[in-house]
Amino acid sequence: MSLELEKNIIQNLKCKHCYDKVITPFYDDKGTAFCCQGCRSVYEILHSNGLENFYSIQERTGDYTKAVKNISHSKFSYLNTSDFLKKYSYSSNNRFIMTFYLEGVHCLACLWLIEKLPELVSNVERATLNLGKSLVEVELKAGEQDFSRAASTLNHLGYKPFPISNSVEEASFRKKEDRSLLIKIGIAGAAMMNIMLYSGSIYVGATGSYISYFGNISLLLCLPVVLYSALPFYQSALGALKRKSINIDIPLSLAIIAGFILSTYFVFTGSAHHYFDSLSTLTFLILSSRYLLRKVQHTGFDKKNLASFFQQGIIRRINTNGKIEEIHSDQIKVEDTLVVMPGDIIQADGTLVKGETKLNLSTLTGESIPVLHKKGSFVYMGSLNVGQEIEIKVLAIEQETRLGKILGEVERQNNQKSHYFLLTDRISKYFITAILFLTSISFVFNFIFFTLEESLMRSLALIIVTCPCALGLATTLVFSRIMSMSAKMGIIIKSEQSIEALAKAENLFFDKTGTLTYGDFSLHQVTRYKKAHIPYSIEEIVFSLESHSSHPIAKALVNWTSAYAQKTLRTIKWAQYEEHIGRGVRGFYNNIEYEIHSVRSEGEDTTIFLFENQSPLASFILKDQVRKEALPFLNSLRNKKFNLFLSSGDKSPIVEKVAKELSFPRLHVQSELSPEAMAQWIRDYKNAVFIGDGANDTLALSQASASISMHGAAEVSLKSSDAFLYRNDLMLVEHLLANSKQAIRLVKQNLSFSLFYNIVGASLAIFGFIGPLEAAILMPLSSFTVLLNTIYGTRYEYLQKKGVSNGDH
Amino acid sequence: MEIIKFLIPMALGMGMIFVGLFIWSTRSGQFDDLDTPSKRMLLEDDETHLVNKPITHERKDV
Repeated sequence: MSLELEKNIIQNLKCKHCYDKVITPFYDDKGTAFCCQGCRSVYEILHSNGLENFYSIQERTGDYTKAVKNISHSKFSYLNTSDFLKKYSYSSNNRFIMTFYLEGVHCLACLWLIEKLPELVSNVERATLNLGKSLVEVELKAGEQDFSRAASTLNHLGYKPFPISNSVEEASFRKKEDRSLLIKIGIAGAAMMNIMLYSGSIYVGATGSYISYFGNISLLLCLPVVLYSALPFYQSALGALKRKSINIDIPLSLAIIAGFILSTYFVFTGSAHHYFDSLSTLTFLILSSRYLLRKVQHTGFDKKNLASFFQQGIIRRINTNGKIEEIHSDQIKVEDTLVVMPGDIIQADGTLVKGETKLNLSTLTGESIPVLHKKGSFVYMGSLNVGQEIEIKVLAIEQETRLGKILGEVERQNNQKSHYFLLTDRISKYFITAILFLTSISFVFNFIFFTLEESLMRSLALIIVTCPCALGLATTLVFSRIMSMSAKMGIIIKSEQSIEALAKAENLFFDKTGTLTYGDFSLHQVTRYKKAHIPYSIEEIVFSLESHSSHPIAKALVNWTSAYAQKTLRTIKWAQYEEHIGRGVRGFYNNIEYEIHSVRSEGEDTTIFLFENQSPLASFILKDQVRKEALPFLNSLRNKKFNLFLSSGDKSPIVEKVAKELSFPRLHVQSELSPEAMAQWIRDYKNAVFIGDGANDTLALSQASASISMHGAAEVSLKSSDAFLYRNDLMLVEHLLANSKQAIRLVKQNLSFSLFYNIVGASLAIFGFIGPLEAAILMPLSSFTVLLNTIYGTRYEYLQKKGVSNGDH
Repeated sequence: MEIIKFLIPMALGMGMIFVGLFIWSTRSGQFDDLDTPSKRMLLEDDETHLVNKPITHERKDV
């Protein structure tokens, strides 16, 4: 026998690095098993640098990495070109600093490892990771400007780095603004608490010289609040006046300034009345609620960088000498010839000039099955190469590509959406106009019938009592609480507008692949016709044939074999083995030909056959399966009176089957939709919410009045959608909708309460039943009522229960 | 009770020191990133200085 059997016993092996199940083991010289080459090289880097503690931290926190597979061995040499340095880095103290977005950062062990970068790369001075944003700031040693070593090391560790073009001014401006707001809050808070001590003493009956003493101290303490902490109010009020519009800061500034002047006057005339405590409390509360909201908002990156996450950075270009050079995707020009390796995303529209391959076009079409492309075919930017190495000639770049045009459309839609008026904005505009109008009327009216002093007092009481403090808190606090509670559940909400739009949802559009289904192929049915002539089981033949292929179908088959056999699988050593793109794989053993290829009758599920000398041994039906929780989830939404739709780019028989399984009515299902047609369909419905795959359905996502994306990178998805679920769980959609509804309900409650309070307070003040002092006591009471109502209404346990209970009560 | 007129400025002075410290800590960037440092402190010192030491920990299979 010329061929030998090699027994390869695989018993529940776990990869040393990523802890995944090992199918085809890769061993290092000590016999440690890894699932792939990538994991082995990461382990070797860590091991040779004494960084094995990575694994013990992981074990302690119970948080294991999902290593990035198929690490490319790019050199990142483009990082060092002077053009690039100018655009992407900045220097401070003669040291170059560059910021990278890292893919795959998620846990404490990652944090530890990444900040060890100076120990791994000699020219790195410092690496500081922001875990929440997955951004790492890499600072080089003085005089160094070679970022490529740091980048390729990060890449080898399994964190794919994307340089972020930070307009330095913008970033540092934001940072400064954050810090100065915090200082303003701190000063207002300190002043507020100290002033309360002295006001309290006056309220409980301090007499004689103490009154003026305490008054003077309060005045001194209140000065920095009025002159510094309250500055943002004045600035925004002036800005609004310049634009000839009205905002909430106008009456606020008015109340603060008028209250301060009047209180100062009282202190100097020896009166016991002053409102320094309420002024500083007001400033402190409103500043804090604004700061909180600012912190919770995940604005992410600039819209300008919309396309940057579809880009992969390093591109291989064939230069005029016929040599391959690495360039950044910014540098591609029309007519260039690019080399696209398996696993790369094509970075430009063009024609295929060498080789043939299968491309995954899901970014453009939503269709997950790869399509064969031959020499001369048109290839689009954004397609993923899942086959062989190819060369393409560039015809269009950036905005001129099909993807570029779609993204341009998305951006246009996003800008339109931001014109959505916020509920409070509208209300407070009317409200503030009414207050200003009322105050002037009351001033004139009281001046005619009483004295100037009385009229001043009443107007001030009116302004203080109607101070839109509660109104200001009413919405910002609710939205920031709902956003942070949702984040706790696993939902990131983009903005207040998103909550408002989601709360109005009536028609829900679901994408099929990856949303209602798992998005992966799995084996649905196996039919065995006969036994093989050689002493191997069908599982072993399939395993040996397919374990080398990276095609999704091959992966599904290999998963099936290892799951079915459980313990022992022997690998066959083929005398001859070949993989034909788009046709399948073939191997010879003992001069018997074994072949796996698909017989894809149009419209049916994908059927694969295993042949022995051209006669079938077994057939496999592969399916993208419907999620377990999909039907109960949809039924619960139906009980809540939502209209549900199913839209898909897939072939109609497949879609119809899923629709039947999930009992969608025929009229609510459309299949074989192009992204443009899908967008068109959604546009016809009011208050439509699209739930889909963030990166793949960008156009459809932007057409709906609100959209939710289920998976993909968070930053990409949030560009085009309103909410992102980072736990891959359909039930979260229900929670999200319930939370948004609850937010709007609370806002309405708070608004009606503060309106009611204001109307009563205003009437009392106009007719002189309450003076400025009583007004100053009433005002914080209304704010606290709003505060309590909001916190009570957004309790985590309450929201958690509400999401799954039936409907609104 | 006259002593209070002396004690209050003293108390205020102490308060000012803390406000000053708060301003300093904010300016030096201690409040810029509230997520990462809270996790970073969980890493023990010996783990951050274990360069070139042999493996002390074998990972167990679950």
